[in-house]
Amino acid sequence: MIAFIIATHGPLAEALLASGQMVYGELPHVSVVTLSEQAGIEGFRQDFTKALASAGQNADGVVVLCDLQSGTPWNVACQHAFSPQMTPPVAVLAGVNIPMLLQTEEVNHLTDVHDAAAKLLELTVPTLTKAAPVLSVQSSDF
Amino acid sequence: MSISFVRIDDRVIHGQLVTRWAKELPCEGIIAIDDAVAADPLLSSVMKGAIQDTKVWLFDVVTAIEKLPKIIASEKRYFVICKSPVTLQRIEETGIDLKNASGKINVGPMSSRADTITIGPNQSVNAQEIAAFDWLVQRGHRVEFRLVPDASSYSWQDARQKLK
Repeated sequence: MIAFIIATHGPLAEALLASGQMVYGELPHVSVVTLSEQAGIEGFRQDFTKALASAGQNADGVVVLCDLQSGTPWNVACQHAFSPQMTPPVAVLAGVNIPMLLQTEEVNHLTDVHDAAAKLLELTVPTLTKAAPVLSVQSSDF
Repeated sequence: MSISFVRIDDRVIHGQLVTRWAKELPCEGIIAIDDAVAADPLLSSVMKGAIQDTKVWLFDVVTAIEKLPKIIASEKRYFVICKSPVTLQRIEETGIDLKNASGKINVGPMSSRADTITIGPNQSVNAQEIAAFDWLVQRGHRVEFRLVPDASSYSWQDARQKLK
């Protein structure tokens, strides 16, 4: 089992989770941490450490879904991910969006955190797309 | 039996959700049945693009009744999706049997409207829909409210308790 943490600048993480739950119902394997102006980087670091300990309790690994590469949530998450004594292991992705969040449900049964993160990224990339009308005539060939 | 899945969803085809179910159950095409959507070429052109690489047919109820026997007789496996249990009742009243390989009728989102009672998260029914669900259950269908494959679920019988 892989657990997931959404980590973002400002309230995006909480809103993403609420929006995701509107589409999929409960998402029990996902938790959130947010960086606020009030708590700052230190506050975020503490909140993140707590969230990671809690998410990792019954998981084979934790994937952190960050809003932005090389922002504070990413930097803090990577410090944990790249630490050799980190258990369970942690992987970090940037670019969290609703399809990525929803598709955590398709990889959370895995046990290898890096495998889960790579699959999730692979599932998410095609969801960035431009709309085009489909005007085909319907065949009666079933 | 070539219907692999029957779903009620008031958005008809919601890309991410149908994609999710199609990973769980065999789906070589989607038969969406709704009078309003089928009559609207613009909306049809939007919905047919909902899933990459999966064919989508959009029929009004009368056309669906005409086409379904051939669809059911096909070797290919199809999802049948419509907005309301009332549509399923109209179809089955003509003698078409929507029993399918999944063994049930799945119900996804049914938005709350002025005349509805809420029975679950994003799931609300009006009097006509209640009667249609009752009718479908009496016909021997299992009716299961479940948004996505791994989500929790409840049956129409469970929901019926809340309506008393």
